[in-house]
Amino acid sequence: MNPLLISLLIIVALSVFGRTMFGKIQLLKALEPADRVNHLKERLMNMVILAIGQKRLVGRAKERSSGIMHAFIFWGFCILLIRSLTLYGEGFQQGYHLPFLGGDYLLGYLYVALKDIIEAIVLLMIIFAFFRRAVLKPKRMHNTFEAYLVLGLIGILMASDLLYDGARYNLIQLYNNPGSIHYFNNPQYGSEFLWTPISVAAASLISGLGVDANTAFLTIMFWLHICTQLVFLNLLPLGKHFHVITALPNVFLKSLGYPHEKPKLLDLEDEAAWEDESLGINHIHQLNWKQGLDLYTCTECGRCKEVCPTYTTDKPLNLHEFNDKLKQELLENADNIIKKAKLSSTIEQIEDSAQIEKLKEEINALNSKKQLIGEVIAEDTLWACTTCRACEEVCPVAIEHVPRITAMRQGQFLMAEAYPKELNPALKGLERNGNPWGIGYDKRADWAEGLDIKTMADDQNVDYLLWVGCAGSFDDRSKKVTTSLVRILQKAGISFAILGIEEKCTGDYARRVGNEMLFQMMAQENIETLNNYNVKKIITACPHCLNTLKHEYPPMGGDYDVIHHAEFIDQLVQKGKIQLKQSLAGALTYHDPCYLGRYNNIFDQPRSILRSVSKGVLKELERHGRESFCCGAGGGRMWMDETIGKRINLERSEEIVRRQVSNVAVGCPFCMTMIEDGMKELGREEEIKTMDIAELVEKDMA
Amino acid sequence: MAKVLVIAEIKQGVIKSSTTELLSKAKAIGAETAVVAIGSNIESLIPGLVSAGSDTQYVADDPGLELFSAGPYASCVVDAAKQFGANLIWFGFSESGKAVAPRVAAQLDAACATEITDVTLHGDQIEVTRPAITNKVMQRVKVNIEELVAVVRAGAFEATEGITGTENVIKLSPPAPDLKAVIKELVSDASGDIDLADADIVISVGRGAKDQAGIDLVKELANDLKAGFGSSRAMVDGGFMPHGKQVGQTGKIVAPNLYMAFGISGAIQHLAGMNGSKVILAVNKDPEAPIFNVADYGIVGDLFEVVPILREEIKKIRT
Repeated sequence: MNPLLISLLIIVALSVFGRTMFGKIQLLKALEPADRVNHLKERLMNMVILAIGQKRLVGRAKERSSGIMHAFIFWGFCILLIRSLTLYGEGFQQGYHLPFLGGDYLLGYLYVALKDIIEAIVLLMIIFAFFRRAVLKPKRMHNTFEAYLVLGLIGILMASDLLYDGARYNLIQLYNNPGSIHYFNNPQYGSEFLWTPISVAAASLISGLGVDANTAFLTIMFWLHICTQLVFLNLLPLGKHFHVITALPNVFLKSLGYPHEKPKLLDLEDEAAWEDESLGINHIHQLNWKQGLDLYTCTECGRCKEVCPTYTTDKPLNLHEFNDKLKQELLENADNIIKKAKLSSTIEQIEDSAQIEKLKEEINALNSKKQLIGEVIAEDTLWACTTCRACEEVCPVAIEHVPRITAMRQGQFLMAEAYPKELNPALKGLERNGNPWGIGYDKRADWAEGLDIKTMADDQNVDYLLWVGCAGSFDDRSKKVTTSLVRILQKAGISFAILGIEEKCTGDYARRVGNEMLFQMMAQENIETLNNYNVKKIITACPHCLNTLKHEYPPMGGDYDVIHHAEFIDQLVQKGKIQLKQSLAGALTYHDPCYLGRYNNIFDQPRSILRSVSKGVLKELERHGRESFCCGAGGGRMWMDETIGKRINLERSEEIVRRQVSNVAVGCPFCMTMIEDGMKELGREEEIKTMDIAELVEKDMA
Repeated sequence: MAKVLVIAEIKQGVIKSSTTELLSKAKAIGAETAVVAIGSNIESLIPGLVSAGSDTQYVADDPGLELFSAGPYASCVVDAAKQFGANLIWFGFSESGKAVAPRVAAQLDAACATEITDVTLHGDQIEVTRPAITNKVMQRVKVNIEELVAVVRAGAFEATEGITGTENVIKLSPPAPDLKAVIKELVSDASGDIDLADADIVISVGRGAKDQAGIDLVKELANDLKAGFGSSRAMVDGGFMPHGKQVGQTGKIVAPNLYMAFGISGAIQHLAGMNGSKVILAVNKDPEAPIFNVADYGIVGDLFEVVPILREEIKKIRT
């Protein structure tokens, strides 16, 4: 077309884009380190499934229509990119095509056919998207001009290409004027027209305009397509559509092995860290680069808040707003953060201590002064989170919200010493008696009296340690669950023992509320006890204990094979060590505990057990499995009052009542408390029994 | 001879019984006694201070002392202690006592002990008894200097019948205003109810009360007994009781002499807030309710039947 003009356009557009991207990447590089470059194969798989496969968009039944819409726009966009490259080539050389995509190859024909149909589909999707935003207005969405603009630009990209082809076809066909205009025509595969019905239709739309108009159309559509694309490219990094560029890398770099980044094992003896107040996150410059990339990538789609137990019960935690506020704060401090990183790297090469001191002062001056909590994010917002991970499970671009919240709580707890005061009795209880209720530690094994249970101190040559947990040891309701579990283990002839009064809270809840010091204390003490007895395998009925023992003790020197009782009982049933009668009467449902399901991927085993105790169908709740709804107790919320909005346990209990069941099975002592309380409040505790899996199994044992 | 200075506890113009209890103990260990009273317009309380068992009365009476403020109150106590030459300075167990005692100890360079339950003197050697490790053990502590500031645990000392003192009033000059903190106003619990933390008897109501009518019924019993009135979390969640009245893990933690639980099943979250009570009475329909595991006295029955009977019987005993 016009090599000069196209070169100019490309150079200008790419240099502006390059400059923007350089700034963005420089900012990420200046943030704290995060180790994410390993296990490339697994990472590629994630990218293929989540990003390219759009798993969380098309895979969720509730969101399927919009998911399919997005997936087609995304795929169509990718397919069109090849065409766009061809058009850039066309700008330099007539009839340019990419290798193997020309008229001599079947592949070339297949590509134009695919491109033709996908453009039509994308256009339809764009119309649906406009309609959805403007008319249907789903609650989670947050409508902005930017969203419409981007939809419009994508529409233009598609339409301009179709009309470009249409005008081209007209010039070739109707006016029999192929002249210099190139098109596919191969004796084997026939004319390009036969492969591209949509473009042919576009051609017929403008065929009446005459040769001149079609010639003009061809040129206009060509440049419109190129310019739109270059403008689009430069718009992307400026707003939430940055995800078009960052989503793939973000998914590629997501946490592996555990659903999100594990809480950082803070070095609490690092005096410099206390001095610099750098434990946890209190200021924006304390984010690591992956957390920064998460902020770049948030598309404000609102799926997170739609599944959030706190947002849906009218609490102030609105995750996309949370991300947006942090992003604004990050961008406002971008220059200082970059400067700071540069100074920090020069400091390492300097030996003169006076100069180092001076540079350190300069660096400190560049730190963001704003307290994230209080000045950017409200206190109630931070403490509302139950750490249930529902948000992360639905996030299409795999943003890790919860670790950031935990780190911010660490900052609040350790540095700012600002946390809900109602946590104090439970923390004190942990410190003094190893349980959050502060009941005398010497009473921890009272429940076991008369059950003929050995302690490790009696005999450590057993196969399993039964980790009872605080609730299972002290809470009257949960003690019944522990007793049931013990009877099952005894019946199956399992050799096990308990720690008795040597057991202490794992520290889970201390860690969730940011009290890293107390967590580490509890963990160290427990690990010492466990290692002393050479414990290898642990069974526990508490998903919070499970999660902590399994994932958070290894970095501190405690490596055990930890099994939740649902998994263990399921194995016993499968192996025939426990015979069940399927005698449970009445309809049954199951509430997935967050720390069992979403955190530890245990969804099937409890269900398999429930099918063995009841002949009836297991009725699933509206929100179940990966998208189960939290009971409201996680993240330390068990030890705080819920004074804002509707209570989460009530919301969940109502959902259970709506399902018209007579039994709701749980696998967590805190879910048990929350749901049973909800049932009592709704006056349904007699009709709907809240039972732990172990209790149902014990009752049904032959 | 030991010299004991007792800080008079005055609440809403009334000298609290702890003042007599502390002075009785001082006399019992053969000490010379003095009391310090701080407030505004408290002249009329002097006879009461004398009859409470004090031999000298230091009075800091100034409009600026109307509202409690730890700094100025501490200066008054220090002033009195120096004039009297006290070697033992005792506070009753209250928030204000806990706030002032360490300040006084620091200013006098004296030892400080909280929550003591006993004091013995062996010549000049002072020995105190106090709980440790969350009340698991009692420790006896020898104080190795001669002055001790102590906060006495509520109800640790008993008042002696027929105790008297002699009037010897010494006015203290008002202290310099506290520059660090100015108390502007005192906001008290608007309900006008007895403070749960202070109350000798606490009566709490739970889900068994069902609704407002049930709450009102139990509340009348609380009024009869001048008891603090609280509730379990269920009633707060249900919107029947304000959050400030919640007894339990995330609410108020109380340890009265008598705790009466009506219609409370005794979930662990509630027990954590009241199991330090001296005597626990529980009324619940369900004989299996866990509250009975911690109760000293239990009545299995419907609170709607039990409360009227209790009120009737209490009335009979009183008349």
